[in-house]
Amino acid sequence: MSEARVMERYRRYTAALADRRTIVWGMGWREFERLVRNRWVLLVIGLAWAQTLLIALIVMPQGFFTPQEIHLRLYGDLTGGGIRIQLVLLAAITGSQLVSRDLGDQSIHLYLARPLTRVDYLLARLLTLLLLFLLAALAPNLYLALAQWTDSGYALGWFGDHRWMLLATVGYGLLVSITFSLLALACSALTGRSGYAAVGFFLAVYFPSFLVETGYGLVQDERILLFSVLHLLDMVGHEMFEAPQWVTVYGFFFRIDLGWRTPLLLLAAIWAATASAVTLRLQRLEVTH
Amino acid sequence: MIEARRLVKQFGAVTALAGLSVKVPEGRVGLLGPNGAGKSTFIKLALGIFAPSGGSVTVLGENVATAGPELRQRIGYMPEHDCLPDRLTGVEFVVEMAQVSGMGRQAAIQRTHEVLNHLRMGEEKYRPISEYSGGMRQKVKLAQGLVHGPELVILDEPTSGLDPQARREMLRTIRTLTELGHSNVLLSTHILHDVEQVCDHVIIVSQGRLQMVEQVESLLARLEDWVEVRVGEPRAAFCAALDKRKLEWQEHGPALRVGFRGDETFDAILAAAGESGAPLLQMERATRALEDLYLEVVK
Repeated sequence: MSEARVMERYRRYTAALADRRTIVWGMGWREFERLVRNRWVLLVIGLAWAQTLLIALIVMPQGFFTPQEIHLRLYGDLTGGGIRIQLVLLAAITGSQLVSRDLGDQSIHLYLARPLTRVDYLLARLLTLLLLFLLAALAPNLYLALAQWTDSGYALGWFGDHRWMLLATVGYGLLVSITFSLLALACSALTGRSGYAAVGFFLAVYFPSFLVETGYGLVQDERILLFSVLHLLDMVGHEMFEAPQWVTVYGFFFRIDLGWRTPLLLLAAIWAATASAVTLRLQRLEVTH
Repeated sequence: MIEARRLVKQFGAVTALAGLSVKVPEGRVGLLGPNGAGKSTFIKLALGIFAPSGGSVTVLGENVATAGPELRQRIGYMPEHDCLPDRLTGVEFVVEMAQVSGMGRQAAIQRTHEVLNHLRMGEEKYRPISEYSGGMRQKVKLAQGLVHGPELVILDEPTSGLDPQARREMLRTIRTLTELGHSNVLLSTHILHDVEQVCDHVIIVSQGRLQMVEQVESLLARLEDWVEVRVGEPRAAFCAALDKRKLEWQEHGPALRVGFRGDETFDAILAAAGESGAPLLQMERATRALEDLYLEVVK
């Protein structure tokens, strides 16, 4: 193309611009695409999938567990065969760096000078993590459900019989994804450094867990378990799958009965607190530049 | 283009803008003021990034407080501070910013290359930003502000940290690209020369208040150029000799200021001194430059 034509094109340019919803979705999706090209992210997701395949091929055919228990175990601790540690690792690797990276290199100012509110920006970052967790947590569970259906002889009636379990699988997947995503984003925004954020996220998840398990061992009062986000997720999860509440304490299973209301309210409080913390951190940008 | 009405912005006890009222005309406008004058704060209020403590601001005919963030699709912004992600290449970053402005992927890629080519970035646009020089970083910052074809481009200290050659090139590029794209420009700077090079109008702010809005051309016309002369007696005869030679002059304390009309002015002054017999004690050319005018306004 001649220089004159390039000049003419530049002169006449009018961009066709999308609305905010499309921009937020696009931001979330592009970052998701970038993250799944990261070899460490791929490794962690690969481990989660490998574990899922082992359960589908080895554990499930033995018939020790009900279909609900299989899903609860896959979402749970490594001691029960679950992929929780992979999910925590994934959140630490990815979520902790998303906001802190933009804060660190100051590119957040350029994002906020675009047609985005601070909440839009956060939603875009949250969307990235949600997509990642859906790939690492929900998709393996849906694969297990599919395997359960094929084991049942491809009977279409199986879906009707297990509709609540399927809903619980999706619902619990979203619950875990949103909780870990918000916690990771909060650590990322509050520390402003991805390394600190990753450590902060591990501590926010596992340190309270360690404390309450020790406390439970000492005083045998199950209410103390309400102070750990991992145990809260376990409690809500068991209720969603209509299974008796069990929690793991130092790898051993204990039967508890704390219902679903209090744990769900506490989880909602954690969501609100973390979302508020990130928003406040971004609001504070106003006085730093 | 931008209209501020009694705009106030306070950060705790610090007042960055103290009731600024100004109508920024269309075209290329320089926002001039010393560091801490409130220029960057004014820009962020115009972008809607900050909420004002008082007053209001209208940009491209829309009230920033009620227009919502979509207004920023019509604005391009190049911030003062370094804000580029070192992990991306120049192309990747500008494409990302174009998409965050709402452009589709293909259009964003094509436009990014057009803008970067106009900024004379060759193969280096494919290198990570971490390897860029200061001048190249400024170019990428400018490119991300121009890529979505905004009606208004706000440039905050675009020549900051550049060597003289890179500065000249950046100013030329800003002028060319904004002329080509018919964009309005608000150029914030504390460097007077940048405004002279790029802008049609100048707005001078200081201590959060408006000091002056004027066309650069008429401002330049107000500049004066004279020869300061000190002579002994007979001073009256010397002045008469100046009048005879049709030279304009005025008393300025113990000295005389004779209007400068070229190098021949010096010959005429020497001839007037010789004719009147007044000893010439001092003869020095002096100018009242834009710099002096700016300093007077800011003071």
